Amino acid sequence: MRVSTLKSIAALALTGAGSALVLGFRTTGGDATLPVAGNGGTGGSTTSSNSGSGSTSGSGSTSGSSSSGSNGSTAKYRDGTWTGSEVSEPWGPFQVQVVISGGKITNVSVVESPGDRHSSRINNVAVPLLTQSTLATQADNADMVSGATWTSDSYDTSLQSALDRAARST
Amino acid sequence: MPYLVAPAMGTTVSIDVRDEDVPAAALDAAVQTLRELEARFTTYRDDSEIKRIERGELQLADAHPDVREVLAACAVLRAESNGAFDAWRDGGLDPSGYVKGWAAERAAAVLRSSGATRFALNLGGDVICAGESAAGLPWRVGVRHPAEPRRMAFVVGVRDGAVATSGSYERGDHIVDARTGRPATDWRSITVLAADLATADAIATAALAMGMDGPAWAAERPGCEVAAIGQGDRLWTTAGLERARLN
Repeated sequence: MRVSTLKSIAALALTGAGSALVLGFRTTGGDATLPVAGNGGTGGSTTSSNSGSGSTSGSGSTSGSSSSGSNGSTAKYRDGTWTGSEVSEPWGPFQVQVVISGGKITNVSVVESPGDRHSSRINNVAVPLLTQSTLATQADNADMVSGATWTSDSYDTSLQSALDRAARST
Repeated sequence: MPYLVAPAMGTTVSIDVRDEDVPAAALDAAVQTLRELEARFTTYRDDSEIKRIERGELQLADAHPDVREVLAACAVLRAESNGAFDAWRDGGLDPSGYVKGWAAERAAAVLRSSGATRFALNLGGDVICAGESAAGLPWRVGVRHPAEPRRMAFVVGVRDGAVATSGSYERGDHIVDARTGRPATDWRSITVLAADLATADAIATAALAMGMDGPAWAAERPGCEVAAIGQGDRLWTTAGLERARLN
């Protein structure tokens, strides 16, 4: 499993071409209301005016070895606690730790993040939301997510490297 | 099937290659290309070409071909959007609204030159898809909900194409209508599907800046399909976008 695929909501069923055909009759497009779907974060918006990109994190890339032929939800992780790489934020380092049990992610926690008031707001509000979503969305239904992300960039970068370590030599 | 996540261009890039025989070095080379372009187009260094052009010290004709290409495209976009998108604002030059998607296409070209035919590249929420994710399956690209970062509004299936989403929901109201100087808030996010990411990103950004009429304008651009999310979770889509939806 890859971080990008974690960002989906479990309730979205992959219906493929069938639904595309059904929807095809709407030749004029649509103007409707988004359905309330999924079990993603329910804590409302955590918007902030702060940029969330860890621009340079030491050696940079957390190189990808999806060597074990892991593909989508069939990925296997070794049980244990795996620490992700440290990602630099403008306000300090950010690093997550992931716990794998029975081959599944059972917890994600932040092991290093700055302690000033701004970042504690992020850590107390945003990180639990991100973690909750990660745990809730292992039944991934998307390969990539379009739309800007905020602290989640650092969260994902560090989480991905932790998962890479968990997946290695399985 | 190499996979990589790395910081680049002030955000995160993730590259997912599904071809069996593409070396991991190809992904590193793609990230390196992004970093080189980031340096070339930075507005944070006074001696960058962009800042020198801004100050009138460098003529466009003498600039790097990449810079000329990007600024020419920005000029076209400015005309097409009746000024809603403008790389020049308040005397400053900032083409970053176009550079990101354009640079991602350059990185994708590096992957292709290494033999990659089935890959997805996501640069800070703007996505390029090539080929299929698995036999008979498109890449599934979720569009995040404007108010809830971890919830997806809908998912589209893409084979060869690009998906860009511009939103007024992150980093403050960072998209400004160049005609009025006011933040664009009529739509919470606008998503554009197009053949290439430079186009998709630029049209999505311009459409958001344009305000209420933006999505309809974007829908008239050749090869573009559009979804716009407004207040009260209103979802406005084109017919082609509906056909691409998987949910």
